[in-house]
Amino acid sequence: MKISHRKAQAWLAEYAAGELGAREQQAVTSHLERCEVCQHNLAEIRHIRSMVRTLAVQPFAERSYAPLTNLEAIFASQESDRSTVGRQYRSTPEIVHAQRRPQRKLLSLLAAVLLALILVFGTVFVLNLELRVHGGPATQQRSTPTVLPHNACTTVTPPLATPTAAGAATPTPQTPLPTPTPTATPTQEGCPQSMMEKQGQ
Amino acid sequence: MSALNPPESEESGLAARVRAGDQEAFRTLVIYYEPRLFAYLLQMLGNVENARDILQETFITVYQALPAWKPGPAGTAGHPLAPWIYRIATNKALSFLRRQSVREKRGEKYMSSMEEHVLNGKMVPFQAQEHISLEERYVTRELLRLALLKLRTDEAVCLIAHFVDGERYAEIAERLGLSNEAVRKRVQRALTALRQAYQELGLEARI
Repeated sequence: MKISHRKAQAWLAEYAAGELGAREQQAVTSHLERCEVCQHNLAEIRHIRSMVRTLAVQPFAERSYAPLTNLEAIFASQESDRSTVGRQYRSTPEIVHAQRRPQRKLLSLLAAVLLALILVFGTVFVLNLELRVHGGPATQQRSTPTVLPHNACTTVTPPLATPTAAGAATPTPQTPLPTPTPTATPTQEGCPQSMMEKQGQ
Repeated sequence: MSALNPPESEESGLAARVRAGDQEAFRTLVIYYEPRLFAYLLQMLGNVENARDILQETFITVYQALPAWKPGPAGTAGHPLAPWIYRIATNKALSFLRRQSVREKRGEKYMSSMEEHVLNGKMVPFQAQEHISLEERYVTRELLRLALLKLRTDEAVCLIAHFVDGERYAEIAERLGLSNEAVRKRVQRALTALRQAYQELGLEARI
C-alpha cells in the first residue's frame, strides 16, 4: 500500500504509538524510507514521547501511605460549601449553566424595574402635559365649560386621605362651571363614610 | 465488597448511598480513587503539596456535586464515576496551572515545582527520571506544563493517560466513556500542543 506524504504525516502519531493496523504501519514504514521530513517529524515525536514518559508515577499501593484526603473537613463543609461548588467547578457545563442563572434573574429584574419606571414617568409626563394643555390659563378661556370641569376634577383632585387639602383644591378649577353637577364634587363621593363624617364635624 | 475495587453496580450503589447522606459510602469511594487520583495529579502538577491540595478540592466537589451526578451512557470499566471524577480533578489542576502561569507572567515570585522539590529535599518519586539531569527534569516539566495550558479537559486527560501513563487508546476510551475515534482526536491535539511547547522551549535543535 502506497500512501501520500500528507497521509503519512497524519499517521505519524499513531505510528509512533503503535496504534495503526498492520497494513497502515507497513505503508508508513515504506514512506519513511524515502521521506526525510517525515523521518525528522517522527524523531521529534519519539523524543517528546520519551521525555514525557519519564514523568510517569505508579499509582500508590493502597494503605502504603497515610490518608491524603481530610474526610472530616469534607463532611463538615457539606452545607457551607454547597453554594461555592459552582464557582470552583467552572468547566462543567451543568454547573456553569446553574451559575449563570442568578445573573439572568438579576438582569430580568433590572429590566422589569426599568420598564416600570418608564411607565410611571411616562404616565406622569402625559398627565402633566394634559394638565398644561387643559388646565393652563390660556387654554382655560378657549375650552368649553362642559369639557373643562370633568378634566379639572380628575387632575386636580388631591388624595382622599387629606380631606382638608381636598376642600382647598376644589374651588379653583371649578369656578368656570356654569351649573355644579354631581361630577363637580367627586371628592366627596369618593370619600369613605368615616371621612365624610369627620368633614361634617 | 472490596473497598479497593468496587464493581460497577456497587459503585453506582455507593453513589446512591452518598446522595442519601451515607458518609461511610463516600469513604469507600475515596479509598479507591485517592491513590489513583493522587498519582494522576502528581504527574500533572509535579508537586506533592499542590497535588494533595487539588486532591482535597476534588473530593470536596465530588461530595458536594454527587447528588446531581448521572451515569454516562457508556460503560467505563466498572467505574461509572471515573470519567466524571477525573474531569473534575483535571479541571482543578488546569485551573491551578493557569493561575500559576498568570502569577508568573505578572512577575510574582514563582518557583518551579522541580526547583522547589530540589531545594526542599522533597523529590517526587519519578523513578524514570533518576538517570537524567536536573536540567532535563526541569525542561520536561515545563514541556508538560506549557502543553497542558493549551488543552481542554478531555485533551489534558488523554495527554496524561497516553503520553505519560502509556495507556492505549482503547484503555482510555473505556476509562473515559469515549469512542476510540474521540480518543484518537484528543491524543492528536495533545501531541500538537506538546510539539508547540517543544518549539517554544527551543528543543528542536536537540534531536
